[in-house]
Amino acid sequence: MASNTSSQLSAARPKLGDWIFERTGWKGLTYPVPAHANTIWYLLGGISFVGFLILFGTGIYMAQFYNAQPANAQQSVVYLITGVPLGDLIRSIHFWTAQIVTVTVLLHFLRILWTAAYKKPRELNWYIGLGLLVVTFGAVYTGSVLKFDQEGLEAMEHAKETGELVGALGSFFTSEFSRSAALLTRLFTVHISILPLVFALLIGAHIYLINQNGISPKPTLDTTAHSTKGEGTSRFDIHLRSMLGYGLILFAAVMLLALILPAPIGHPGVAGTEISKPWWMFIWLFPAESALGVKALIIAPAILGLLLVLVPIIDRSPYLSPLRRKGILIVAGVILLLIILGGVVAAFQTVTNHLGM
Amino acid sequence: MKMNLISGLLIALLVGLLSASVVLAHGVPTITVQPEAAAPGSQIIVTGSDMEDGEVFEIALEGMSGTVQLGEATAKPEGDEAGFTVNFTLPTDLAAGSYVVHGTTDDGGSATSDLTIAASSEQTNTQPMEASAEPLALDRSKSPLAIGSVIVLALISAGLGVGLVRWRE
Repeated sequence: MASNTSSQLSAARPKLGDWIFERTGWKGLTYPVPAHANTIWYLLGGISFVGFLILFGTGIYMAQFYNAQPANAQQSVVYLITGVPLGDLIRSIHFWTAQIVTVTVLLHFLRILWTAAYKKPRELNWYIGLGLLVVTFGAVYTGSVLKFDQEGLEAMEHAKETGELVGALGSFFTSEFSRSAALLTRLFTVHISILPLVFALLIGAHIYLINQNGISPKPTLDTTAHSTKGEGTSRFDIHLRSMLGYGLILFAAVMLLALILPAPIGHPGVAGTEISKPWWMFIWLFPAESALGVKALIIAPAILGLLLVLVPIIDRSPYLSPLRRKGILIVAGVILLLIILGGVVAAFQTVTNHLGM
Repeated sequence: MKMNLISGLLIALLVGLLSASVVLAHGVPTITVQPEAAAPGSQIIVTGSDMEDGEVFEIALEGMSGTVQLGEATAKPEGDEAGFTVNFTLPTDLAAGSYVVHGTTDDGGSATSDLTIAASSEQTNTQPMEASAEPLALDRSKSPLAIGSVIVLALISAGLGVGLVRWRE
C-alpha cells in the first residue's frame, strides 16, 4: 500500500528532465539525423563552434584589461600577463584556442569540399561557410595585431599599405579614415564587436540551413545530393552531445597547452622595419609577397576567393563521391599543395622589407 | 536564364579584379613616424619612402582639434627610390590623443602615419628603439596551486568529454 502511494506520488511529480523539456522544447532536438553525422569529420564545424564560445569567454575577460591606444597597447598586454589574476592563463587559452579553431575550421572546409556538401540544395550554405571562413581569418588577423609588439605592428602596417593600394575599398585601413581613433583602436573594435556580430549572424544562418537541408549524405559511389531532413538512424541530441564532448576535450587540450606553452608577446613594435614573418595561417602568402610586394596580399586571396565562389557553379553534377569528381578534387589538391609549398618555402626565406614595394 | 546569371556574376568578378589590378599598378609613397607615441614639445622623426626624386611633401599633424603644419620635406634619392628623414618638434600645447601625420604634395600625392600624443613624457618612448622579433622575457611562473587546479580542471573536462563522446544509446 505504502509502495503504491509512493509510486503514485512519483508519477504525479514531474521529473527534472520533463520539467526542462516542457520549458525548453529540448525534445524538439531529438529529431533523426544520419549516423555518420556523429563521426568526427562531420563534427568539425560543431567543435569549431565550441571553440568560438571559449574565445568569446576568454576574450571578454581580456577586454577588461586591454588598452587599445597605440602608446599603451603592448604594455597593457604585458600587464595582463604579469599583473592580472589568471591573465596569462586566460590569454594563453585564447591564443591556443584560436590556433586550434583555425585548424578545425580548415579541416571542416576540406571535408565539405571532399564530400561535395556544397551541392544542391546546400549551395547557399557553402557561401555562408565561406563568409565564416573570412570571419575566422579576420579574427585571427586582428587578434595578432592587438598585442602590438613588433609582429603585431608589422601586420598592421601591411594592412595599411594594402588598404592604400585598393583605394576607396581599403580606406578603412588607412590613417586618414578617422581623426579621432587610431587604426589599432578601430581594429580592436572590429575584433571584439564587428566580427563577433557578423559571426553570430552567419552562424545562425548556417545552423538554420543545416537544419533545413539536413546533414550532407555519405558520399558513396552512387549517392546524389539531396536533403536528408528527417532521415537517419541517430538523433540530433546525440550529435549535440558528441559535439559538446569533443568541445570539452578541446578545452582540456588548450588548458594544458596554455600551461606548458604560454602565448608569446614580443618587444614594443618599431615602425618602418620588417623583421618578422606572418603567422602559420598566412605564411603561404610570404613567398608571393617577396616576389610581388604587398599587392600579392590582395591578388592571391582574391584569386583563391574567386575559385571558391565558383566551386558550386563549376561542379554541378549530382554525384557526391570523390571518385566521380576527380577533376575538381585534383585542381583543389594542386592548389592545396601550392599553399603548403608556399609555407615550406617561406620557412626558409629570409625576411626582407616588403612595405613600399 | 541561369547561364546569363552565371555569366553576369563572372563578368562582375572579373571587372572587380581588373579594377583592383589597375589601382595596384601605381606605387604608393609611405611615411613612418618614430616614436609612435610622443609628448607635446618633444621631437619626432618622420621618414618617407617610395617617393619620386625632388617630390616636396607638406607635413601636417591632423587631430580632432584641427590641423597643425609641421613643415616641409623633400625626397632625395635613396637607392632605386627616393625618400626623406626629417625631425620635427611638436607644439607644446598639443592635446593628448590620436593624430595622423599627413604628408601631401601639390599634385595630390598623399601618405599618412598614426601618432599618439601622450599626456606626459612618462607614457612615451622618446628614445628611438631597436626593432626586435624576439619574445619578451617575462616571469611567467605559476603557483603550484594554479598549476594543480588547471591540471585537475583539464582532466575533469577531458574525462567528461570522452564520456559524452562514447555515450551512445
